[in-house]
Amino acid sequence: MSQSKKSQKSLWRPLVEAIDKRITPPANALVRTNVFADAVAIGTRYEARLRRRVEAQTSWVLHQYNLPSATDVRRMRAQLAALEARLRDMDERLEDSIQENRRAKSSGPAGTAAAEQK
Amino acid sequence: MSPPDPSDLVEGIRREAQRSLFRARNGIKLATGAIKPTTGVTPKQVVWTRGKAQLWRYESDKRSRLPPVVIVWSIVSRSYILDLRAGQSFVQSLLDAGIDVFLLDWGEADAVDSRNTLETYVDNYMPRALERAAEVAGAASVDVLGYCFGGLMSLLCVAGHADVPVQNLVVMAAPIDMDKIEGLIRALQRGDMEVEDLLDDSGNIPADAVYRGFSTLRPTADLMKYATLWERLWNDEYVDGYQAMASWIRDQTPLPGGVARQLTEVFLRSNLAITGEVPLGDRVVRFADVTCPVLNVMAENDHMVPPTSSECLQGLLGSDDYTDVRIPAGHIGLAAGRDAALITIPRIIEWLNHRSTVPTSAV
Repeated sequence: MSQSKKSQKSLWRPLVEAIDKRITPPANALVRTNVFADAVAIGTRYEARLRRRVEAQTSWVLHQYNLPSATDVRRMRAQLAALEARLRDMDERLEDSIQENRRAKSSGPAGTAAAEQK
Repeated sequence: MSPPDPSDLVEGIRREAQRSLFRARNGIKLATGAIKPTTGVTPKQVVWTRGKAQLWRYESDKRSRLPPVVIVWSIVSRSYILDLRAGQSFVQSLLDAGIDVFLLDWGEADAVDSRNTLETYVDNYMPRALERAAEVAGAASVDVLGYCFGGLMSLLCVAGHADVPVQNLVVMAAPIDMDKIEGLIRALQRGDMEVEDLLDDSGNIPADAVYRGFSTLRPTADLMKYATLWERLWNDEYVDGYQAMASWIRDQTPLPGGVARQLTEVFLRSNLAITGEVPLGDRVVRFADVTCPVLNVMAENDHMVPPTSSECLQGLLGSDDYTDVRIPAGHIGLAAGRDAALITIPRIIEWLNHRSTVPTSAV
């Protein structure tokens, strides 16, 4: 290492590097263990369950007052998204068939006949 | 030991005082978010679009070779890492080498895309985008460069579409053997966690969860990152680079739920990619059908996709012209940063130029 680079190094840097050298290998090893993965999996599962339970309770209360709950809104959004996805698929098919026709026309009468058959 | 020169001492104090001033200024800017990094700097044009996917062609007056290179980006992160800032751009380096560069960006999945599957991308989008790139460039074929999961998608597309005009294929840090991938993904693999537990209201795995999945692989990375930042906070150039990179790392994209389910079943739990036969749509795609020249670029210090996950590719392909290269870099350093500029990019360009000697006059 050059002298100028050495002089740029802070006095506390070796301490941080030593700490990093000490804690990084065991920390890296820990997050790669099955125990860690299991702990995160359990946490995620329970978080999802808790969320669903809270939503169910909230929905029940809101429905008593004829109000839409987050679940209702989510269902509606999902339906709208599915509808939009179907529209997108149809749009893509239409675009493909227009392209095919164009190609067939540009390749002459034989191509047009083939495209019409399709 | 000679006593310190008083003039050196004064100079040192003066320099440190100045740096402290700059540190305070840049620290305030960083903390308040006053400076926004400018990323994706190279001018480009959208030449094809479908769904959220876009094909970009980067502007250049140096195009001197065919076929063009189409970069196929991963589905879970932002592509601007390849064009991060001036002087730190994978794309710009390829352009400077006379290559006509296209990039296939998948956009950000929302509720509409939650049912997208691999077939959406590999069978619907990719063949059309690659054909469009060839058409726009006035070439008979294209070279494909797939990065990370984009590498696996490129393999599936080339193997599953004999009619797609691909001359050469480069895959970078492509995950093939999923048993070699470590971290939280193991919980999904072993069935201790289900995709449904991770989906949000839109039906996708949210960007935050994707970020958490990646960041837990290096839990102490922030310690050295912040130490270096503090040390060099006075340096505007370093702070710009730091901000651009830090914001990219946090800026992940949601993973469509349909793709996540398929990934889990086909690739993680059944690990079918290492057999070279992957079910896609109503058929089985065989890597043995990839007969074009293939360059497999692996990063030796890759903590996300270790080289052991990619190296098995050789035995699965039908290509007679296979090269693999190991770069002493990490997953991100493979495409961005000093290692990319000094090692990765020159190797890729050299390999491509060796196999793509058609001079371009019509470009």
